[in-house]
Amino acid sequence: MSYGLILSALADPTRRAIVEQLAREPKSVGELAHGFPVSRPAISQHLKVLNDAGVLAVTSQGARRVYRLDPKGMAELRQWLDSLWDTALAAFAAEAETMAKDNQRK
Amino acid sequence: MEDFDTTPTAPIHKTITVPLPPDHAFELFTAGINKWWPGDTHSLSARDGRAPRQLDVDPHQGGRIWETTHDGKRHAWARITDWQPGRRFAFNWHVGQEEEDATHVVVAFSQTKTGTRVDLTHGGFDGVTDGATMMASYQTGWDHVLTACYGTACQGVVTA
Repeated sequence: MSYGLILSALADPTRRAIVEQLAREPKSVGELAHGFPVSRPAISQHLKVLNDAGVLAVTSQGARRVYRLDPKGMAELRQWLDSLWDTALAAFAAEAETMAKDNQRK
Repeated sequence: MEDFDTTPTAPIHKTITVPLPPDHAFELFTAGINKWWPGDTHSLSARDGRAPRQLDVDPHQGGRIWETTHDGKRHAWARITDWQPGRRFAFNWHVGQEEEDATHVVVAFSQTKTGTRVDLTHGGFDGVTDGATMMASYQTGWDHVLTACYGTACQGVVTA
């Protein structure tokens, strides 16, 4: 899953709405198409973009394909925040070291 | 696979030790945030390839963490839910999102022989049903290099 792909996939308001619906419950293309003022092929195209971005997980129930959000999305978020705090706390510690040295000199 | 579904919502935990007494470490973390926060890459201003003009941490419960962006506008990053100088503070972090979608950060300071141990816990992911959108939202708000400017269109900015 790539940040850039997810972001461009979610830039489209219809795709964002699809993701919001799938966050509530898994749905098939038909069920999704029901709730949107766009054609079923258009929904399929949106699902393809979301799937390529790694946002979706697909399971087959007989002939029916059911779409849900990929739980890895949450893992990616967590990993990203994890690295954010690594960066921020490293900067904090470096500044604290500098302050401690300055205090010693005084 | 069950583990895989639940692990991502576990809190993030970070621990560092700094050679300052707890009250100084607390003060640097909060009042001194401009001295260390990597605003070039982690701020709303960073979306425009700029650094924030200023960051402010209101020193009381119910206060906010603010960014004054390069254009002079003030934006809240978080609402402070606990404020105990020299010991701990906590905030609901909602940068780039609605306040009700906030996650929760606790920063605790404890004295050691040589200074202060800082324990940071970022949790509250359990209520988040949609990690991908939330991450995209965070990144839209936070990380210019990885988001708005991701890809070929912004290579110049990324490398600059």
